[in-house]
Amino acid sequence: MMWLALFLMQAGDPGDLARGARVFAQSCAVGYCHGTAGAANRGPRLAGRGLDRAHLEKATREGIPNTAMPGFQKVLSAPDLNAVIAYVASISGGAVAASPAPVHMPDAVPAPFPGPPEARRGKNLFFDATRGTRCGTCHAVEDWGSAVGPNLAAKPPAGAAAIRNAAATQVQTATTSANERFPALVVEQTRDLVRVYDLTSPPPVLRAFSARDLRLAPGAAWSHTSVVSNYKDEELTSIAAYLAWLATRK
Amino acid sequence: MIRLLLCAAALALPSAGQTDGATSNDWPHYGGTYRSWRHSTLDQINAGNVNRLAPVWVFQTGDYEGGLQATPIVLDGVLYLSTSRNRVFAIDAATGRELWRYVYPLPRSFTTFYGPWNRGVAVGQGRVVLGTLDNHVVALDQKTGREIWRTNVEDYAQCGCNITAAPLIVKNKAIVGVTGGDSAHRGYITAFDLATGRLAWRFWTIPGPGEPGHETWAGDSWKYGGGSSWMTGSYDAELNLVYWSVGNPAADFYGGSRKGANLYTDSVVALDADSGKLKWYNQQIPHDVWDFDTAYENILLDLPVKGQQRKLLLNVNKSGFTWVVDRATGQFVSAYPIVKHFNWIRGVSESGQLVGRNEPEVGKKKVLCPSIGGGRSWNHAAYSPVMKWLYTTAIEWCQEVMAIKEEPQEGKVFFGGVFENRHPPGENAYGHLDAIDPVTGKVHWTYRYKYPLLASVLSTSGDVIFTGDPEGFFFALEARTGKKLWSHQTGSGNRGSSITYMVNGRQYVATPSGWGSALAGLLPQLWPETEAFRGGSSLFVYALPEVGR
Repeated sequence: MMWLALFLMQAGDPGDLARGARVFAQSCAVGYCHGTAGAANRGPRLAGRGLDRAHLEKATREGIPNTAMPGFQKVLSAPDLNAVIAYVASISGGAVAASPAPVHMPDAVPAPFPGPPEARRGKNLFFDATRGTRCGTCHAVEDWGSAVGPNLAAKPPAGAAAIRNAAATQVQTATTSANERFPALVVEQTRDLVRVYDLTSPPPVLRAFSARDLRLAPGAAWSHTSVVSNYKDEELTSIAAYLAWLATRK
Repeated sequence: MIRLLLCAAALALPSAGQTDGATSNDWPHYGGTYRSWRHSTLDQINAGNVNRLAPVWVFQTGDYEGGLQATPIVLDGVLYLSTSRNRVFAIDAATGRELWRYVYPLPRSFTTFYGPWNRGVAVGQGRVVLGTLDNHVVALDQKTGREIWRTNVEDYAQCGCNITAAPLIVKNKAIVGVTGGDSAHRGYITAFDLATGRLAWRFWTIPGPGEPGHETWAGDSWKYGGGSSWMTGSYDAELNLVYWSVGNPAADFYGGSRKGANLYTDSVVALDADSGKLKWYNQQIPHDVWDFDTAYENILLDLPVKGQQRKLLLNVNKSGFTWVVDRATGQFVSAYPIVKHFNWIRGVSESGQLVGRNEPEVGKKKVLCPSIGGGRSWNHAAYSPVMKWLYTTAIEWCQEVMAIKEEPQEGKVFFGGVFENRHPPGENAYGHLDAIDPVTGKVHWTYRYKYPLLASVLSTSGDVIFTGDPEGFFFALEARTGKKLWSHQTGSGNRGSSITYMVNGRQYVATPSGWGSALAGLLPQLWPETEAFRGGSSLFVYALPEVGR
């Protein structure tokens, strides 16, 4: 019985391998990636490489940092992920029998948005790429966006009005030695150096000055109202609903 | 005495009308000058003495992932070089001594589909400007390398895009393109104020609702239609127009969900340098389903066409065809193939229409030529005002391709097919470098090579052109005949853009050496031995031993 199980793992379950080959063709062979049956493209050749199974598992699930290899844990369903790993192991000629049994992973994608419909709408608006300026231009949540402004998932705004009229107490007025003035958010201040976000117009610009070349004064002619003017009230309501829902997930 | 004579020769410039696209002592812009000729009037190194050329210094960047693909910039004896993973070095151009370095703080761990390489910086008005792998634009102090400002163009994690090309400085702005043409992303060209880093203008390469051209995209396909601007543009100061190439629509091989011409993908766009407003466009490939970007350099030429002097723009397309248009109006002038093996179309009509489209099909394998790797890659051509010839590389290869229906996921790869390289019918795949007439494509001579040539061409008034090969040889050919005059082994394949410049009366030729890039990854399908080619990242600099001592 043991022998039989081992033998099956070594050969790979033909059903799994067929599924893996299909997933590979759609997710790994495409583009400039690993090529048909892992023959290499921009991505390295996988066929005949004798890849270590543990490395293969980790690279496929989590990706390889600082390279073009993304993690597929959140992209493929668990059966697809396991099948594609088995398939790559088979074409690579790696030691399949020595590997642990595939770990059960929860289905991730195409995962339906886990929150209520209004939160989903709010998320789409928050990151709406068809608008030059969107919430994500200055705020980061769920691994997207730029973390210039406050973390909104930690302290969500109460509603549309709260977003529109968000206080800007942190914003100061900067004056350069050339007498240029702009609303500034201080990022770093040492004896020699000041780094501030220039909030004159989105996207914010991270500017560096010698400490002696920049004066900072409290208060600024800047308001959140002006940067969210491209959203309607009902859109801001959905965005607030999204952020409120995010806060409950922690 | 020799030195004095050589200096005098270098100063004897041809008439201004011939040289306004050529460089002299400096190499101020990515393409040499705004006209992107990659030609220098320097002739101290020439066909008669190039065989004595010897290395004078080598600069090791220390970071060779993805090779070295940059074009160095030289101004007033200082050379500016960017490397993979967004490092910038200022180097004494005569001695190789490092003056300063800047290491961009990349996010600790991140993934980019578009490679770790960088193809250059722009230098002007006391600033060195760099585009980054996480889609920021950074301005450094030209003297010290200290960061002055940094702007996030768009979140790279969301857009799946970033910057690998050199920016172009025009007047008080830095203009920069973006990758993302094989992702579910909507492309753009953006200008930033050099002094403050603030957004000056943005041109969306895919028109939004209500804008002309929006109707060339079915449904919501415009939101994820690609149209990247992944190389560097040119500029005509007289017309005040910036010329930029827009890449392929996404998904690359599957066009079923984006029915229409898909403007302004596969087009050259002419933008007002001050406002970014579209002046004209010329679309080479309506509804591209081959991933044949109009992405490469735009060479600005003033030449007679049928007896009449014209302001022209020449663009080599990835499909192996070259387009020539009137750069004041965008009007089509001519198109011709630079490859022998093509079957994606039968040709281009006299009015500029594609004839006999041969498209990839869903679920059915088909052999199409050239390969998606391109009838030529991005490595740039050179134009010689002395010979009035264009020097361009080309690749003879094909692919077996199959389209796959695919739905977009924002910022994720959106490719719509699979491919595998094939040798062309009746012969093995190979590369060549040709001297051609820029308007008609008539070939004057050909240098044939067993692999694709993936380094840019450099032309000089010394009757010498330079380029390098994947085996690591940097070499010189006689400009008139194509005869090989000199070569030097640099230790790693050449995939960047060589330049030439003069400091204190001595002419130098510099070439990046360092194998890598997306295309380098495609070569082993046809040439398995190339998988073992060593990486590297160094700048080799040559001069004549007897000069400048």
